[in-house]
Amino acid sequence: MSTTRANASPDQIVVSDALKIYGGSGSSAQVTALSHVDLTVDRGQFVSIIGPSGCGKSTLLRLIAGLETADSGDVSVFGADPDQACAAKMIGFVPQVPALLPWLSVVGNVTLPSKVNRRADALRRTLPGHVHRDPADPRALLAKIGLGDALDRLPHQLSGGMQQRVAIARAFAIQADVLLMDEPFSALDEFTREAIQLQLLELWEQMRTTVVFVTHSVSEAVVLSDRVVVMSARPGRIEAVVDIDLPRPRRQGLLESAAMHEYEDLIRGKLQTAWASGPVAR
Amino acid sequence: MTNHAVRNDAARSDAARNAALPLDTTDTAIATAATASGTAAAATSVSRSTPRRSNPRRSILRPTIWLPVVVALLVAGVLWELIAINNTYLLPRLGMIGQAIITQPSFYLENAWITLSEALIGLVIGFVAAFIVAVIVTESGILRRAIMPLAVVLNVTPVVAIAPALVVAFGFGPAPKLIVTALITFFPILMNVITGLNSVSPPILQVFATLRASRLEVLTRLRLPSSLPYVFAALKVVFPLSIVGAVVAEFSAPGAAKGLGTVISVASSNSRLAVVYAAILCLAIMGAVLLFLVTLLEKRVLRWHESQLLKRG
Repeated sequence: MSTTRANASPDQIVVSDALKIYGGSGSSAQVTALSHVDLTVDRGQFVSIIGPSGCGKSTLLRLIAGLETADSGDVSVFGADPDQACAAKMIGFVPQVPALLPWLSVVGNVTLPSKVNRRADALRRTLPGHVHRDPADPRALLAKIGLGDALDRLPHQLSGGMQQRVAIARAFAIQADVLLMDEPFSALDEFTREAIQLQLLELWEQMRTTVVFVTHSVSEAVVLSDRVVVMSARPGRIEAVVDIDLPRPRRQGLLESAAMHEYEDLIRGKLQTAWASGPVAR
Repeated sequence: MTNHAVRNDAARSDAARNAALPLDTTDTAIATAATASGTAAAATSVSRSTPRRSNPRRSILRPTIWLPVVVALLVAGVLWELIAINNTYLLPRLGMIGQAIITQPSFYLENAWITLSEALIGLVIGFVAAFIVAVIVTESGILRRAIMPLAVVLNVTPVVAIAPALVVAFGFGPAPKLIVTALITFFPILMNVITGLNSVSPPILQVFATLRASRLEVLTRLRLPSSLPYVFAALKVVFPLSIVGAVVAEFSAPGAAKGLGTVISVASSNSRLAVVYAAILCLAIMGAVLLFLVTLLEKRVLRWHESQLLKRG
């Protein structure tokens, strides 16, 4: 539980030499989900993790979220361990499905996180990586993401894309230090997905919250990110890290630009080598 | 989870069997079913019409809605009369049942009120106990392993068999009736509430785990509201069941107390079939009205739930 670690920086999320093995020790069904993974995310960066299914990208995200613990290695979130980070509400989690409470209105869903664990704010101020932010106005946030006229509706009255936008607003609403998104758009159709990506970008450019975004869509990773982490499977490891040097704010015109396609091809190439080397490395 | 669900289904079908048993033996099953389906049909017609903004009263007036119920009731009544005409000792004529009620309505009202209040108070006791046990059992693994076997034993023990012992222990007052009703309603509520408390989807729990919501917050903000659909499913089973419990308990203390169960046992030992069936009719109407009220309440409370959306859509 020590907050002073050799590799713990108050302005970075650091995963060092993380190992995670599923299945009992010694059994043949053991799966090495993460093998000696190192990852550093700077404050304010948008980082995507991409890779084939089973490469441990979700596991990596869940380690940072404190939902699982590494078998060995270290995880620190802006100088705190994941457990403290959660207790201080530094982490906003957006799962694959919207996970809204069906009996609460849109506003109710977005404000609920601020009503639980009320001691978090006091704890947050004592942590070394603390950066003060004023509490977000949930209505303004929802208006920004295009849900201004759906505030009092129930989740079942919304489309899938709208529901996922509510889930994103919910994560932004606690003014978390980092948003962890686990393939949040994977269940949406392509049109909805592209629209919601741009909305996320717009919101992110205003808030500049650190984001770790798991995806299996190459174009999604390139459009959104400052940095793309390519992972490969069996055992789950980091294959390459690609910095995306495209200007922001990124808008519709950029999506068709040649520079973007170059990055996409580069990452597809890395993914193919990762795919080819996967079973051999086992 | 699956284990719970399976056992829960078992509990429900068990309860259904219990509920059906006394009615089958009295041959009024058809009449009761007709009344029950009548209220159910009326209920769905109301819910279907609401989103269309049409006046719900008007849709009840449509013949396609009310005619099937009326025809079914008429057919059941005619069949009843056909049998009763030549077998007065098998079934009393409908007119005689009506006459029995009309000549002393206060007698039936008074006894029905006693049985109803026994049933409802017993149900409240059973409900509160089952709810508390369900919360304890879902929050603590150790207590679950301690309590659940006892609850299962309680469930497989026929409460009808316990009733006479309770009368010996607690006398002819209301106590044994309340205990029997509480016991008979306890298990279906327990199993449903346990399933309901466990029905929060894992991603929601993960979101609130990363916020470090306390166990109490998870219980009150996530688990309890999630359990409501299951609570209502349980209520639909146990409301009619509570009347069964009260009547069974009254059977075990005949002559010494009031209530429709007592009326039935006294009248049947005197071969006054019309009175027996008049009392049974009262019980059937009570059960149907309770079921109808629960369904109405469910519709108001569970606006957000899939089961209600389906009906409306």
